[in-house]
Amino acid sequence: MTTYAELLAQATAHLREGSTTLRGHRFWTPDEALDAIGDFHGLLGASASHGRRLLRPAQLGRLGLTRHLDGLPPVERASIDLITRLEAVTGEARPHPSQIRVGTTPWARSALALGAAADLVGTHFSTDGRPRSPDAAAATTATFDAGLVDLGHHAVVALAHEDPLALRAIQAGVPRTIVTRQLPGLEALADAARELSTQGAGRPETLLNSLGQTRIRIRTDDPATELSDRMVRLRQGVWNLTADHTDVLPSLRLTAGLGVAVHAHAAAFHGADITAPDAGETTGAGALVAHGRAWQRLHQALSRFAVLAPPSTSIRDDAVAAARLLGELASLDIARDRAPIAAADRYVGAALNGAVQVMADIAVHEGAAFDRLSRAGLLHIPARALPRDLVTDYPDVAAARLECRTVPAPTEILRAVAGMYTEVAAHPISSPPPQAAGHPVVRTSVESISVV
Amino acid sequence: MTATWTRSAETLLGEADQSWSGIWALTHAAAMGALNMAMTVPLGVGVSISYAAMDFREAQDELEWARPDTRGAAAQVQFGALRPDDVPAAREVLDRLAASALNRAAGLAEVGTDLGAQAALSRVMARLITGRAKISGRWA
Repeated sequence: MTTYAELLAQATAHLREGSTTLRGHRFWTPDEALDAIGDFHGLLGASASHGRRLLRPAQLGRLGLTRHLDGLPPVERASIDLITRLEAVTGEARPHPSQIRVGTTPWARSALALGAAADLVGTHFSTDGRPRSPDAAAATTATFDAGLVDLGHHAVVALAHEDPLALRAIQAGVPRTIVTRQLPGLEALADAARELSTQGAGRPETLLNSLGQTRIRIRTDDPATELSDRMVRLRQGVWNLTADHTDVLPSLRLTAGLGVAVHAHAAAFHGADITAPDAGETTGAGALVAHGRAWQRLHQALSRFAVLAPPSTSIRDDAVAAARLLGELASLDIARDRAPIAAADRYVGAALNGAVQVMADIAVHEGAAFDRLSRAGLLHIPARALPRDLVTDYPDVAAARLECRTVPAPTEILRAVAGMYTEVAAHPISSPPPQAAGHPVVRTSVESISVV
Repeated sequence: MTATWTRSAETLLGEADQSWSGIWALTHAAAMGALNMAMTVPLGVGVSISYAAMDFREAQDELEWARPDTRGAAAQVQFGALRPDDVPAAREVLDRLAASALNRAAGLAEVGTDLGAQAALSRVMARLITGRAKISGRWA
């Protein structure tokens, strides 16, 4: 999956290629030199557009947080300075997309990669600046500021090639007046870029680097790759549930079942003997087994609620496919020994570890969705499925039990499920040992059930 | 095999009639029994049992959606705790419950004339068939 970091790396690689070409080769014709200058301008324009794209959400995030008297924050001031200066050089007119030719020079290719990175960021936000993906929701103003500082570094490197480009153009026979008009000495821009690149005291925890495509096309050529893509799309689908006003509980129940499978297969891959009773270890593969059990308790608790709708089709498709892929990648029947894993298996291990991490992310989003459902009073449970001690506390529930009706889920049950979400949201390696919840419905692993 | 499982299952199988509520009672028992069982067995075995529980629970959802009044109309049955040694016999019990629900659903679909109800029953049967395959280990 193409990410923001990959596109920026491409932009930088093309820039390096342009630098190498300038150093080692001359332009053979004036037209070739003018093409390079035109593409260099395109690169500066792409830098300005990219800056605008990052600046907008950063400004929205700061709305109401700064006073007019404080002035603009340093990063924003430096960014606006650089962007406006770049736009003054390149002009505001942009070629129609049909007029853009395939990048023939490294400068054009760098500009295309930079533009694609800006577009990628754009797909994560709606037109009014609201996030459209879990990654965008996690991004803060500091994240965009860090992105702007990175852009400043890129601009510094790009602008350093103005003089060599001008000299090579003159060498190729381009009239000096034309070269001077196109490359008039952009030291002021270079200063502005340097100013921007030195802003920012520290790197925020959340960077733009992990931003990927919001509409993920699943690659089906390799099970490990497909699993990674499916899990990322599942995470996106579950995140969308937090703003979904329909009954999302069936989707939560489905992914809880998948959580059991992900941890079981990952534990089997890492050498746990999951065909034998649990060893009770809390480290290594044993921690994965314990986490799988936590997902199992959650799955059991969610299965008690009455539901109104089937699970989301997209989530169901991805969960079913992920379950199939897990079986292909790591069998549950064969306990691996703890010998060093072959290089080819490490790729599979990375995909499974990634799936475990994604499940932790999913648990965070699911916890939010469950919290919304419970606060909206949309969670109902058959009164006969409630333990007797709870029923006796509430006369209306007792009446519902006799009449075989469903009742709004009592607070004790909701609190217990919320606690389970907190438990599964922690990564297995850092999670505390599973603790008994405060209610008999979820305290015991095996209990009597009532069928009404 | 603990007596509570076999006795409860026998009671339920004897009392469940060939109606929507009868199918619901059997399916619900299979779903909850599978969830209980998944917690008892080793995690590697519990995965396929959890998948089966998901299938049975979705079959129950279909029944509740088509006939909301079926929920809670059946007699109460208690399933007790399960020892690891009892797992094969417990699988057998759950398979019998699901098979019984399947037979009743097929019988109901055969005599029914309502297309919507028949479509719902066919979805229920599909879930029961896949759930049975997972419980019995024929399809992990």
